[in-house]
Amino acid sequence: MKNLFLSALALAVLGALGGCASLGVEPWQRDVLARDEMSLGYDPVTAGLDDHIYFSKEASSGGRGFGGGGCGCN
Amino acid sequence: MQLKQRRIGKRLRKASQRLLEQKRGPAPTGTLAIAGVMAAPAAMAAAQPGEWELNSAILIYSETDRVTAIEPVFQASRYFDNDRIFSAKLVVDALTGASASGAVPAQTFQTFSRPSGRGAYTVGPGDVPLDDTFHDTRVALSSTWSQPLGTNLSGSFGLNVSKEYDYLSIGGSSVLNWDFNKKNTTLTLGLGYAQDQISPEGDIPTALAYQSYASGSDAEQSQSNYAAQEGSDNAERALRDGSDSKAVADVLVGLTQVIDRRSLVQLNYSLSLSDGYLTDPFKVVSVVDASDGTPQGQIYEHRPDSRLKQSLFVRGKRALENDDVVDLSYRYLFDDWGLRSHTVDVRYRWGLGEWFVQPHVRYYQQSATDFYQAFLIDGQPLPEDVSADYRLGDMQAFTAGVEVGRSAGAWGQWRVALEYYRQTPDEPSDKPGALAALEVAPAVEAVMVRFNYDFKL
Amino acid sequence: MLRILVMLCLLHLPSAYAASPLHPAAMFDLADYRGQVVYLDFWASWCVPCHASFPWMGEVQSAHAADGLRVVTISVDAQRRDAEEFLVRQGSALSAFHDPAGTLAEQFDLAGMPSSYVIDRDGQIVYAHSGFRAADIPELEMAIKEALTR
Repeated sequence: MKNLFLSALALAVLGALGGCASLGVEPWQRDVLARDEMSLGYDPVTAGLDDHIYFSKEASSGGRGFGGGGCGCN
Repeated sequence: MQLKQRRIGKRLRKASQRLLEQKRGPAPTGTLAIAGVMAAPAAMAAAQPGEWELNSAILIYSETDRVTAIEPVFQASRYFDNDRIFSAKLVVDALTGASASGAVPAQTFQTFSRPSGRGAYTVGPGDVPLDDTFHDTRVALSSTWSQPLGTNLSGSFGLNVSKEYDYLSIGGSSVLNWDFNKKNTTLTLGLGYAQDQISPEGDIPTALAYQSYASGSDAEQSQSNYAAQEGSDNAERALRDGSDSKAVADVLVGLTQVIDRRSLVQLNYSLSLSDGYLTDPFKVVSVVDASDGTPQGQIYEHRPDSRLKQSLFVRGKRALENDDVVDLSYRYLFDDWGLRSHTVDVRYRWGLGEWFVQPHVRYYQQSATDFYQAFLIDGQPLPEDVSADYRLGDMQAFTAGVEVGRSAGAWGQWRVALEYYRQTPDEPSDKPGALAALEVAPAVEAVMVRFNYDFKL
Repeated sequence: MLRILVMLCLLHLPSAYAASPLHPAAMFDLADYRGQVVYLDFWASWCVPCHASFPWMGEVQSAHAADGLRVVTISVDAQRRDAEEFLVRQGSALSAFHDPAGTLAEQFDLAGMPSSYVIDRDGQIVYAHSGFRAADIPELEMAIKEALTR
């Protein structure tokens, strides 16, 4: 089951990579993407606070990115 | 042609000189001062080499009748030449209040031993037992160094330490980002490892051992009944270990793709393996009578000593034609404890000139872990793993909030957010006898207020 | 003859252009710089390293003006106003063109932002570079000096 899932994921990633080559913008067209609020890592301080609250109140955590920091709040 | 160019240059220089002179007096720094003069002040420009970026926030989290947390954060990032960044972050987390012990309510008064074995607390009929000794202060320090590792490769390396009264966590992480396809595609590989140690007051309780417990028709009776049998768990206490530990290893593989000039998507697969003491030493499970449902006592919970979590996370951001930004994300998480969860998060950043308003909605739903049981039935053999912690049970949670802020200005940026959070655990369906009339897993409501302030030096 | 043509063009442009040092992309012609070494830089107000490249380009221009170096900058900002504000903030006196549609950017097939090219006296691109970091400066200066002495 797990292996099946992993291979499906690998396929999906490879497929996505192939499809990605045709997506995107030229370097001079990044004006909108360059804005702070379009960055995926925008406002890490707030993201860290949110992650911490939900980590201590729910049984799921992580996934969004890599924030480090263990805590004994579970 | 050249002469003309020079003349224009001179004019431009004079113009900017004038602007500089006008504002140099009262304003704090050159760059920001000029930004202030502009007809349309731009959002705070990204930090340049030699600058410090400072991000601060304070969060107040308050549950009705339960936990209150005050969490200040301060982060300083120094930008160096050649895209190198050093960042350090301090988080303090001060908790007070009561949290659910895992025990069920009863039609009578109940007196429970504190997890430390020092003292007891009594709850009224129908009240969900809340352990009110819950207060702790956590201090977490982390630092990160980021730098390019090649033309299209960059890395960041972090260390973090988190300390509580009874808890210590030390960890490290590294993230590699590989850009290709004209930086329209980024592959991310993250690795993390943390080693945690817990040494609770009163030591680590013996799994599935009975705690001292009594009940009574009023508080006094309950307490005197408790006094009569207090220390019935002394033998168990003598066997306790002072501390225990766990290790957590994380792997993340991510793909970020620019779709067009206004949108991008991210797909992450994460795997997290925890190994060691994963039990909550402060949680118990009630053992109730099979026919009338009255609690006979409660045992310390026990969780499996390893957990493998996997998650898929998809996020998309899009700037609309009016420059409002839609931020959508979904996470599917599953683990070998039998838990499945879905999280949907939507934010809409509505730009109003220098101001913005951002409504936010989040929905979370989880299915129970295999060993979750709201209570155990007296006389039946004890399972190897069991927890009545509602956070491991079937549950839905909903968050709604709004953030307001000013994204321009010579004195930095600030924003304030107000959010409402409500957890609704599922009520167990098979409550025997008198327990059927009582609410075992009530909803938990919380209000969060956050204030952020960012500036540059 | 060419100069007269350029002057004529300038006269017939909308007044917004006449009052500004930012020329429309259509006016850019490499042939105008024959006999000079051109350092051509594509930038934008939203590009973070572009802020650091301007003071350096100013220095290079004044250091090598007598040797026949022309630093020519091309903004790919969609909004003219953003580019103008950037130039005022930088106090830049460098030649500047505005290419909001990316016509020139497309011709040069930029690899990143900023992108720069060293073009020799015969109009041949002899060096191309993308990005601007402090560590890139020696190489950029070397490429310029090499083109100037050739």
